[in-house]
Amino acid sequence: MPTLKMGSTTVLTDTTLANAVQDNLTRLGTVTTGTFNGTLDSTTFSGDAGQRTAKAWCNFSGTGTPSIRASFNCSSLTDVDVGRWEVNYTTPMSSQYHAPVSAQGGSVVHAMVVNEDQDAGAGKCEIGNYRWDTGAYNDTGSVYVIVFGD
Amino acid sequence: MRIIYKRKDGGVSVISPSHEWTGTMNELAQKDVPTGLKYKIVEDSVVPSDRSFRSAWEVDEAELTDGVGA
Repeated sequence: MPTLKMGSTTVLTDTTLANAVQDNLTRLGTVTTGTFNGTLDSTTFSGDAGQRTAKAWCNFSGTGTPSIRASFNCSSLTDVDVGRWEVNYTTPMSSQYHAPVSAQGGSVVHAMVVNEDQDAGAGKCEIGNYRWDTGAYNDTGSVYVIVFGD
Repeated sequence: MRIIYKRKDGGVSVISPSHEWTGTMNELAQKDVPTGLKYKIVEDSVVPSDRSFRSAWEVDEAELTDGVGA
């Protein structure tokens, strides 16, 4: 009878369920047999699971003394100037060509500018909150950043 | 604590650690201050919360004595 083991421990003996669980684990791209050892860690995923998973995210306040409220894989926030910040990654991406996405919680007249010059490197992304009605960068209370990449 | 450094364009940048950072401020500065730029680790109160003149902030490079970005 097929079984599913975690290390040396049998955790499932039902044939249908064991096959279903093993099939779904295999889809992660890191488990190819009936035995899984180790810990799933979103910073060390490889293959499709890694590319489909956000490698960093943060929610920060961009006013007063700008600071991160909550985050994953973000070591710090750099206050660069009015309406301009940098999010520094704890573990860098594999290259400068990753894909940060940003939004803010203020007025609709703001547009987020991300990595405008593509020269921020692999260890951080540059975020700007641009008011297209005034043609200037502006501070804002809530900024959200999600980063995908290798 | 915050980390202050002077950018190549003359402006002042201020780094604030995230809650998940577990290293020291000096280790953070070594990692996140651009290579070759001097920095200073300061108390939060040193950095103004009034941002009315944020673009005009200046720092004397002679005061940035805690290290250099790696």
